[in-house]
Amino acid sequence: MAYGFEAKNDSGKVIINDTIENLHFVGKATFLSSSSGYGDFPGYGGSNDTLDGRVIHYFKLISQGTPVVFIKPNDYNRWHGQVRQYIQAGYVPQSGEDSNTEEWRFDIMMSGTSTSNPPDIYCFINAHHMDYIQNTDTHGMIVFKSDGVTKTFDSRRQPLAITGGGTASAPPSDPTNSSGTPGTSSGHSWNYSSNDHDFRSSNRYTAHSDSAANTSTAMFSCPSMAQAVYKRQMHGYKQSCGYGVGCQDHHSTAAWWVMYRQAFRLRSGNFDSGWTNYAAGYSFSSSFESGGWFGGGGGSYSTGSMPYTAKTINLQSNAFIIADSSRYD
Amino acid sequence: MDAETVYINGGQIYKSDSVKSVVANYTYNPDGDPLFKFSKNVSEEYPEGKKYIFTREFKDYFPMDADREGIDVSSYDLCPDVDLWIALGAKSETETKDYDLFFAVQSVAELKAVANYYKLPYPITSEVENLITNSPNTIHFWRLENLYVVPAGIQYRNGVPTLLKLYTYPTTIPGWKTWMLGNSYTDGGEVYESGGIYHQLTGGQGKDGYVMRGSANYQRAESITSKIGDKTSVKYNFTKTDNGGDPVIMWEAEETDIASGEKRIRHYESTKMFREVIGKLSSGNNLESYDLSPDVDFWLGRSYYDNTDEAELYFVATSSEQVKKVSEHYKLPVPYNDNLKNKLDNDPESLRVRHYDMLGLGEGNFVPVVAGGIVFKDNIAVKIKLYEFTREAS
Repeated sequence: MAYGFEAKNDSGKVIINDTIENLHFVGKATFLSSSSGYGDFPGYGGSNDTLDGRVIHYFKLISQGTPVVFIKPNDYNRWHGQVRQYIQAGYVPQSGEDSNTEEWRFDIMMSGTSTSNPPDIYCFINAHHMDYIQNTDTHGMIVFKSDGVTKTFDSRRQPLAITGGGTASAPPSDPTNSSGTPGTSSGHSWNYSSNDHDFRSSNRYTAHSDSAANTSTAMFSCPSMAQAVYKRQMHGYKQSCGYGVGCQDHHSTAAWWVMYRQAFRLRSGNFDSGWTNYAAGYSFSSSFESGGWFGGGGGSYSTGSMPYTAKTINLQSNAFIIADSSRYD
Repeated sequence: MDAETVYINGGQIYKSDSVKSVVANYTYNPDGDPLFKFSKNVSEEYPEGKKYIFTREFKDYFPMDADREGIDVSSYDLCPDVDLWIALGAKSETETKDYDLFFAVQSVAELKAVANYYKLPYPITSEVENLITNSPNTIHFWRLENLYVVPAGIQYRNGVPTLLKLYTYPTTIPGWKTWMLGNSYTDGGEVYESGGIYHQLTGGQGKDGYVMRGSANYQRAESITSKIGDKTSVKYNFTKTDNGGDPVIMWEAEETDIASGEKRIRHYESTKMFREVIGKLSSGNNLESYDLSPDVDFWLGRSYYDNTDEAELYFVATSSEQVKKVSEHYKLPVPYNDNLKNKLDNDPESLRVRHYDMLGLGEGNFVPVVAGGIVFKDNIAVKIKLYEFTREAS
């Protein structure tokens, strides 16, 4: 900084100057709708059918710039994660709005299947993008870049006050409650289709101590980067033989798969990095080398297909930020 | 129909066995040659059992087999008129005293030449000669390309040829092997529908219009046909889930009025409870919209036609008493006679659709499932049926 204003925190870290782009509260995203599902394996009705489930809440925000999203849970027992952010094509700026105004969409995942208690989504953008919103405050402090025009900080625009945060370690690579990741096994009896793996993720998380974390007004921002897909597959077999016509092989395959997205939870004094199942499916096929009036030849059934082969991807540490939502209400 | 009839000495029947008695004489050998995965059981005649060891030239007809070695039988006294030697039947491939040499009979002249060469009685009558010449596809065992293999064997005892045997395997439909036969009965045991499942080896080739089973050399075309009285012929076709087929009962029946040629399709739908047993599937219904007999514990499914109120509900028949109560519920006669009643109560395996893990106890605990049917027309039950399926295997 050649000249101008600079503010540092107790640790000596710069928090305001002419080069650091501070975030400012642009508003709460508007809740649109919710969809829920995957509280169990679609189409399956046997053992270990229960999954954590997930709700996707859909929000929108009319804004310039690129909003940074903070999730303020309204049910702090549930896991949350932002799984998608995009510009809705075709938005036409309304009267008084800058031509660069866009309709942003946010898909927020929440564990469980009840659509009640959607989170509040607090959105922040850079100071110089805030000018499209009229402000009549005549007092306060603005910090400009060296060009003397572009704002990096504007005290009138509810700048983001970070109360906690740090580096959130990746969640455990294995998102499933059962010990070890599920795999494929053979040697089961024909048509055997009882899942023996607990695909829920309730105890698969990494905890981070943070005094700013609470279950009343705390909100967080952290990208949901990690994903995983895992599958349990069972092959069944039976053979029967007939003199003169050879043998009949009976084959069956039952498979359960779950796709996970990284999700987060605020507890008192803790920020947890874990998982929530995003999608799931069950497939079953049964065949034999001859038919009959019933079950002849065998059949197959599946609900969806795995998006990619079983693995965990994007498993890495992420920065997380905690703030107090009550400052912006 | 007999599964195997063996002729010796000018038409004398050496043995003529039903499927069950044939199977009782053999033991399935999972490590056996895929051409014939059975060994003859130990008996007085075969105190050390008998294996079937195939020749190189015969195995050359099955090029996709992983094990194509075969044996060289040139050290044996071989009749030069035989074109294709099939196998050695012996306790081991080094046996030189007590064994059988099998060959493919391709003409009556060839069989006569063999009898002359080994100075053994000619085994068959002119009637069987006619079958060899004109319709070997009605008595063959294997099918090689265009050759229907009718086997014959020269039996050696103490190193001396003692018997010339011709093996025949009568077929219901020429060229096709029977895998399974099916009947449905109604009104005190009257046959309502009768048919079967038939296979034909295709030598690793597909066959247009048929479902293919098996793989490589043992790929088989499958045909499932039946008749309902003398008025309707039925062809059962495989359906796929992707095309709206049922996840468990993947068949539809194409019924043709023999007189008019008119066709209609009978669709099949499994119940929720059956799907749960088969694959723990949670879809489907349990036929709640029908008048269901309280004496049925397990409903398998239903069949129905488009644009009619005709349907048939299928249930697990557990005893003659249960079927009687079901019949009484609908005020209809029982479908069985004394013979079927006895089978249902004492030998349900002989009627079974298939073994299923109905109790969820895993391999070794599958139970035979016998099917009964209730035909509804305009929501009124009009017929009770009992199904019987018999197999080549026991």
